[in-house]
Amino acid sequence: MPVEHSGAGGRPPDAARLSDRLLPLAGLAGVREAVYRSISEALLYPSDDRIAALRNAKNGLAAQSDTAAQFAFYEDWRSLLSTLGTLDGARTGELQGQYIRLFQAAPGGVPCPPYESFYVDDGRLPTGWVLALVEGEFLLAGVAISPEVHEQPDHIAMELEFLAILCGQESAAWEDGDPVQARKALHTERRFLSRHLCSWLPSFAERVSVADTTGFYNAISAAGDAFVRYDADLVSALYELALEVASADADIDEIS
Amino acid sequence: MSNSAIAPKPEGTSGPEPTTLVLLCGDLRTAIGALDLDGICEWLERESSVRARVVPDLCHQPGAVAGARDVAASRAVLGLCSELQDKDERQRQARRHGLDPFRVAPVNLGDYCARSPASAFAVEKAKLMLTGAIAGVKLAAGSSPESVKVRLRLPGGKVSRRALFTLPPVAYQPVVALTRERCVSEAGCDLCVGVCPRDALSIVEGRLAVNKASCEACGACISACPRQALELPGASLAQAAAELAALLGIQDVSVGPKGILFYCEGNARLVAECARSSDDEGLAWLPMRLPCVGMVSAGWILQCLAHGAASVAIVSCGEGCPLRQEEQTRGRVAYCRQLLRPFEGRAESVRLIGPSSSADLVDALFAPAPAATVPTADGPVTLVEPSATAKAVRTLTAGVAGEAAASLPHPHSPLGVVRIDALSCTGCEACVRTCPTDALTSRLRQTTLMIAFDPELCLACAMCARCCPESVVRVERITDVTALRRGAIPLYEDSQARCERCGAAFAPAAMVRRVEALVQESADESQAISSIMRRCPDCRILGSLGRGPQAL
Repeated sequence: MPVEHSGAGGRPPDAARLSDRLLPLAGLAGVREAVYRSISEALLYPSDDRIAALRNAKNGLAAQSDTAAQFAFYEDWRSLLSTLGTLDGARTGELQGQYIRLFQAAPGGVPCPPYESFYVDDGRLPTGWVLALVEGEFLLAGVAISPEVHEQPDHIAMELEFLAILCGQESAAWEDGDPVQARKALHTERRFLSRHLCSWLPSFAERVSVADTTGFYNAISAAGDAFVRYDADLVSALYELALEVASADADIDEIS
Repeated sequence: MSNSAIAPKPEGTSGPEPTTLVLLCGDLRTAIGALDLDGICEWLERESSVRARVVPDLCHQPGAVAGARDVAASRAVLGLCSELQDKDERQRQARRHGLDPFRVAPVNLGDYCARSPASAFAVEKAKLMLTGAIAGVKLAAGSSPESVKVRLRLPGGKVSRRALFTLPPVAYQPVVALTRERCVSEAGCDLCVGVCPRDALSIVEGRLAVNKASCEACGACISACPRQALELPGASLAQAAAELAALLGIQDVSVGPKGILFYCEGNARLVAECARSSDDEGLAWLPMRLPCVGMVSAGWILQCLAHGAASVAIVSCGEGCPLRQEEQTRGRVAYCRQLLRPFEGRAESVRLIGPSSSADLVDALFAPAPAATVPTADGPVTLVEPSATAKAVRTLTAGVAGEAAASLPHPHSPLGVVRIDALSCTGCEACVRTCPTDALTSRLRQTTLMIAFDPELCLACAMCARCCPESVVRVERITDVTALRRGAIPLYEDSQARCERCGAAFAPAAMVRRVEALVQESADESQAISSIMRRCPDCRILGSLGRGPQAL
């Protein structure tokens, strides 16, 4: 885009314009899927295999940095990559101890319960109501927790993994050229984010920031909290865009 | 919580001053004849937290902020040849290179310093504008998930099959974010709700709620909130105050009499054209761009004058203002002019310029300038109402007696006066609890309750009058200079009633009398109830159980 300016040196504009790179929606959903999955994995009990998988995931995420740079969560993205980069097999024991102390058992009570029910269920609803709501969302999307995973549906890692699965469904729909299915996935993402994750993740992250001493879980939950809140905004905007595109008379262009 | 690199920094947090990177476009040397950019860089770097450098063709290099990482800068100021181009791409590039885009301030040196009569003057004016921008950006809180929203635009504005499968360029717009701990909406305050032109603010279940989708970031609520509970990335009161303080207060830059020129995004090009086509003879206009000039309260205008500005001008969009701020702006300017009328020439130093051609704007701005003002304000620039207006009024009217110190009732007065009918007041203190600015305070000294009023803190919001159960509070929207000079005064004083059992003071005597009067009008067992009313809460409980202190 030429810029009229008196006295200009006449040099060409910055060659690496991020605006010139249109981003496939399938690709964006894929990137979001990878982030949700990584954070989910990092908030499960650490094992050597899991840590190795996270280090691989970090390399995969780093390759998507140009995409992530367009979004407001980019700084939190960099923080996440940096945190994952500190992982190695030698830290497994240390992280296991931290995990137990923060999320499972500690003298005086668990400082950071990783369950939505703890933060949202104020006793006015029947016991287990929050669990039932979350599981209901899973079932509506055709998802169930594997019997090998011994966690409740409202565990932070389960809810993040659910978002990863929805992003994967969205990505597949865009790849298949099916905007109706993609819109459906976006709708479910938006609903789950606003009714569930966004309602309790900030409180969880705040507790972790106070209780964590190694910095690993603090960094993961802080990055996750920021990413989720930015993503909720993005998903709403994408859903509105998808509605607009679907409801207007579309000019069919040749796809180059 | 967001990564600390871009998370809003809590106020009062101590720590080293953030580093600001200042980049100046090399083409300014040709745009403004013989502008000594290297000299300006050297001058700016006398402050240890500033790093300054010249970048060739900065105006066309959105990625030039890459240098911020090298110097660990978390803020940037860009000295450009014209209005900022390609804002969205610059936003993305800033983020890519580790800078929060809302902590990057562009400064249009090319247009505003272009026609200065001599290059030395151009250098001084450039230094001033850059220093103001640095001061403002240092206090920028940065963005957070709550304070920005995504903006997706279809390429070419068209719907197409391509649009179905590709993401349009992403940009982020600022929106108002709420600091819940400072907000007193739960006490009944709704000052911000009334000023929002898009109904983006509302009270939901007794608490303030922000509708991000509706917010257009005009900033009107920022100025309306007396608790600074609302924040807008890149346009907070603290930033604006710091920038004004730097523009008006800096001692080692000499440009002669200064004028502060407020304008909005919608008028940016017009004002820049005007600046480019005029000379700064007599008055150096220092521009301050805002999301909307509706942010400029009377206190802003008066604070500028009190801190040494010879003139203040507001360029408005007129009746076509998309945010419907014209009437408010017009009213505030009228109030300031009326307040300053007793002081020779000062009323004309406040100018409101409606939509016009650049030639008309030049004529309006460069009318004969009033005599230079010697700043006499005590203390820093503050833009938080009502203190901003109150302090400025005291400064501007200091040493003036008689008619010039009279009261000014005006519908746009940011100040007010509260009166209480002391004979009918029951001392319930509902007004004290509701007041959002602590203009009304209470104190219990031994057995005397006193309610005091400080006119410097009164916004004339009338929340106290609305909540008074006895309707004995009156509020007048008036700037009472005498009251401001006098300071806080007691409005109500009463002794406490003493328990007839234990002798403890337990409630204002007037309240007990009032309740007794109401009970006697309506209740069947009024005598029994009245006897209970003359006891403290503890003795009432003991009395109802048939026990006395002896039973314990």
